[in-house]
Amino acid sequence: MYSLPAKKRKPIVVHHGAVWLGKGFIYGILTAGAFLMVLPFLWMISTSLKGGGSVFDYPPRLIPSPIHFENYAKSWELLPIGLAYVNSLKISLLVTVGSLLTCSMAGYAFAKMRFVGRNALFVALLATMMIPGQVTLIPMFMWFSEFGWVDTHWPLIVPPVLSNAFGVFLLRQFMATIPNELEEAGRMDGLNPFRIYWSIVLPNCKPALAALGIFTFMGNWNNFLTPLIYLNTETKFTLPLIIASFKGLYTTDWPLLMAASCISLVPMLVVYLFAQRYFIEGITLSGLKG
Amino acid sequence: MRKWLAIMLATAIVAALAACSGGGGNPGKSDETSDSGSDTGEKVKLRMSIVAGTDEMPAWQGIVDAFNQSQSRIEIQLERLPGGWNEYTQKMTAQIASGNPPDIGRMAVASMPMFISKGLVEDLTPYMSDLDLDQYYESAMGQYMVDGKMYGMPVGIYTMAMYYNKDLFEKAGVPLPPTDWNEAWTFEELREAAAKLTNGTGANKEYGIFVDFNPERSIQYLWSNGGGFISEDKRESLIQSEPSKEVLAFLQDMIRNGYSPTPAETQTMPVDQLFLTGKLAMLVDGQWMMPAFSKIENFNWGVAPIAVGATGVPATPNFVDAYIIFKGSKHVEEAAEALKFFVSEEAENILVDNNIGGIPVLKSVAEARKADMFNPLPPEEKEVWFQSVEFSRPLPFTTNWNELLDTAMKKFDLVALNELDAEQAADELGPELNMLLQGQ
Repeated sequence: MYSLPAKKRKPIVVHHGAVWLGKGFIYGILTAGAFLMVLPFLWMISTSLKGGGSVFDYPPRLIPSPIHFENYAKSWELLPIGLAYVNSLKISLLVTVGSLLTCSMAGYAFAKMRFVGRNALFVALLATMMIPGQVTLIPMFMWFSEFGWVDTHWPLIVPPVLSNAFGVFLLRQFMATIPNELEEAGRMDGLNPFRIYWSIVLPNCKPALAALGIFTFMGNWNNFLTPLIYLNTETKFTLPLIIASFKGLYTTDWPLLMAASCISLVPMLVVYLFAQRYFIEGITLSGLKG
Repeated sequence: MRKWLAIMLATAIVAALAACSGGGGNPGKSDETSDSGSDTGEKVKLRMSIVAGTDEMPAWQGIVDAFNQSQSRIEIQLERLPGGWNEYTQKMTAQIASGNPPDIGRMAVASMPMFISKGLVEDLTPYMSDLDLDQYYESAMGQYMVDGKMYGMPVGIYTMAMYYNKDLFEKAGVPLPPTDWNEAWTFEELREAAAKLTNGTGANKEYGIFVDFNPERSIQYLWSNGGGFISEDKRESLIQSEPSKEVLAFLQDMIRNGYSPTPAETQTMPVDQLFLTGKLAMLVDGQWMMPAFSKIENFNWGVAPIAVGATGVPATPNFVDAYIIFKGSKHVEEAAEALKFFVSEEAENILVDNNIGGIPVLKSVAEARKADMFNPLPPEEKEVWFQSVEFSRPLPFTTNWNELLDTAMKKFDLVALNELDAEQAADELGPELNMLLQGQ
């Protein structure tokens, strides 16, 4: 206990101020960077507590006075935010769980199984990532309207579960790195392909699954255009649609908008706190894509 | 830009589909009879879909409820879409393509030429015979007439005028602008006022005026100086004409002298916020800013006519959005009934009550409710808005209006940033606009 601090102090003395300087420099840059990143977030919280007239005060005030806590109650009352919460959670969770399942199955097939046309299929799948969403929007809408799915949550759940090319790609790449020997060992013990996938490959893919899960959840939680196109009834709206409702055609009620944004952010914060480790792994895994 | 390409593509698909299915006469008729035949007590249900912020909803829900109560045959269900006009257009085209569009909509005036030319809206003419057109402002009712057919019912008349900060005027010792459009300031008077009203530097700078080169916000100067953006027949560009060049140079001077913030500066501080915080003395903008500005408490403000150029004839654009019936509606007749109700005295009064929609298109309501509109302005400044209708004209919207705007703004942004001379920009822009106009 006693010797530890003494040991630590020594090299610092030896290196004079150089280490301190270097460290100080790095911490300075990091702090400045962190401050820049967190500033919009702080501005959002602070704006959500301001009165309408003082949003763009100069110089900007981070701590509003007086504090308008009632903005939260007001925005909650004005629109069915609670209902939108439930809708958003339902859609995001179903899509996340569903696409983890389909993507890992497809990824496993592409990575570990041999069948005719595998590579051609995979290239075709990747090619679908190149088509901008706007192009398929109208045909998809027409199709789902034939199904009678307009103004339901189905078109928001089924397509992303069944056609997540990026997810398949991510998991295939990850699964390809799992040694074949593991699989062979399983086969020796008499496992069928599904058991190999379920009991051997999946548990080894946890970081990739977590990363994909997080991205999928975030993407669907924040999705604006698709719900906007498919949903007509206010009680079926998701959170982004409700938040956008505080924006008028010509003017915007910033405090209410920001209060609603803060409310909608809570689940993301919770997810982030619990999955921070996977977040970072996920970003290293997928390169810049995140 | 990309969004607009997508919308154009979408409308092209829709138009093609409409052309394919258009052969069989009026497909709506059979449904109609089956609806009313099944049960005499059952109402015809109409869907009305609009884009609106929550603050506007009492007005729109108000007129819909009033219509539902006014008769027992038809019931409208109002669907509110969040977002802006772009998202609205996108969603409506998707719904038309799917063959199941809402029956009634409210469309931005700028998108109407495209919707009409692609055949996405119903012709209202057959249902309008019992409407006495003389009771309405002609500038509004005539707006959606194409080849003698009427495609849209006007919502209300929005015009533009000059908002100004009275406290800043007093501080700078500038006499307040007149309230009669016939005595409006000249460009020179506007320049002098802007110069005197510009004060300070850096974060505390007070700007005299805001100059916006966007043709939808600067067209009044071009018109009153004898120029324009494009010709009224929408065939050729007027931006390279001498009177237009004069205006552009005049506006660029305002920015060069520091009287107006540059686009770079308004990126960080939206211009309406600049005015709301008392850092901008004069702002030419539309009636739609009235609800936001009426909440101003920390300074006095007013409304005045827009400065007038060489012709001496005042000018201001009008923006008249339209109630429309989408192609593919199965209940056109009932929807037309609703549209007629929306311009009736009862509905117009509801819009006035809620401070939405601009000047009513029904003259009698506009006259009778003068005292209730445009508060908290004093009567003589309210008159600025009412009188503006007289000098207002619609912008020459084209089917490819957004392309025109994009092309123009690429040049005008450089002008506003002082990187391109105004006259040179006009000379370069003219041929480009002409090409787009021939291509439409």
